[in-house]
Amino acid sequence: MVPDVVWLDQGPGERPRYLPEPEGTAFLEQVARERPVVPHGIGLSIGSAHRFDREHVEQMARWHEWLRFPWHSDHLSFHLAEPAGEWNVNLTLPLPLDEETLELVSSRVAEVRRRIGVPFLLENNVYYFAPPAQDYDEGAFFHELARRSGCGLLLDLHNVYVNCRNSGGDPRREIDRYPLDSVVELHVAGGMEFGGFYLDAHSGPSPRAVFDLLDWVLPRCPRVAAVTFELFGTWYGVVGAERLRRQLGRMKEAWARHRPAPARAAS
Amino acid sequence: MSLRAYQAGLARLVAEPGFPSRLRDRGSAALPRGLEPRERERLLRLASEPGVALTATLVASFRLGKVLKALPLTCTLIGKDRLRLELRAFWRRHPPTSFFTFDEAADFAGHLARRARAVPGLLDVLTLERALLELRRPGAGGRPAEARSIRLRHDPRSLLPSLVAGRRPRRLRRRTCRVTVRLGADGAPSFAAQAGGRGV
Repeated sequence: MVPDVVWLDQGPGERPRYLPEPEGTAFLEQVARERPVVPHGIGLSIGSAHRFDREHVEQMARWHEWLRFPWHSDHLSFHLAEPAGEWNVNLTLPLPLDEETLELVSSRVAEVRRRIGVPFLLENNVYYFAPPAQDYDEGAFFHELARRSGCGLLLDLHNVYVNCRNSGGDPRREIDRYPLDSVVELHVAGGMEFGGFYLDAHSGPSPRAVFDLLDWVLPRCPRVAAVTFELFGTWYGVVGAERLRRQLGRMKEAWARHRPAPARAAS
Repeated sequence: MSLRAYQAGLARLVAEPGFPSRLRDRGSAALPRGLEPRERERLLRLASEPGVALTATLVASFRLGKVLKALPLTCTLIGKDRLRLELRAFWRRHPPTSFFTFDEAADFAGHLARRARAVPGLLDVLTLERALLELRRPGAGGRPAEARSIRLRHDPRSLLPSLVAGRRPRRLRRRTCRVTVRLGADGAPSFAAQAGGRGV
């Protein structure tokens, strides 16, 4: 659910709150006639402590009525906070991976799963900083979250790559910490250097190291049902159709090499 | 309550200009009550983290991108230096509240409109780009409006062609006129002077 593409959110309490964007919804309608459409949201802010946006969940429930997607996902993060009135910082900020956060997110995941009867996944976040002295690392947090709430994992390989490249970590060791038997979807993307960091910018082809991770992780994820390449629309003209096709081709080759089980995400 | 206060503090670190340096200078005194010692310590440490500064830059660049996308003629007219100053002033008073281009651009246009007298033609360009924003905003039926009628104080032919070409206009001709603004099927805007005026 990319903002500005498929709907306009007029804000909590507004009626109607969500205004559909005609071109985007018409495009989805057309695609949905031929293949499953799987939404990947950015708007839920599931870790916001000051409120849980149940209107957003209801909007996703309406979309499930419409598109009958086999699963849906959002991010393990927050972007809504309340310093003085509600702010939307426009970026997915890392949650402190503590027991308090785990309780909060577990109960909300369970609520989403009760309301929308298909698997719900959360994506591992990209970090340019992390709160010090946390109770869990992210892999252990996802293990416990899956155990308590049945949350699935959308494992973004580029996010792991970015985090490790910026912090000096080993991506395979990091990935091994996650509950790989909960992975339903994998993400691949490209980035760029900026300000002394490597960014998850979705701005071009994926580094070879990320494709190596894809090859390595696919046979370790028994429930994986999809691999998605992420590219911001504004970069499409720079990347071009041919390079994009080559990226998708490499993903298909990796899929064919490992032939994961068919797309049946466990409920 | 503590997590709520921590998230509010982190949001301020990445979206409130000047807050990280205040926190570094004043320490805990710059933080709100309700934080546990661990949260307080985290925020104090994060205030000096390069990754937090980078995130603040990303937040600012997202906000800037929305303004550039939705108000290109306004940005060209006021120029880079003034845009930088106005954004700084706007961001100090208006924290980010929405993902959506429309909301951010409409709020910034409102901010500029209160200062528009300082730049000849700015009020007209803002009127025009606000009309385009409204045209692009879906209505309750899910469809954008088809056309809008606006009143300008300068001849649009002395104002718009150079702005559309990415240049500031050299000389503006004062002339009150009504202009109808439309969006084509491809989303491209067109303007037509009313009451027998020539198309623009």
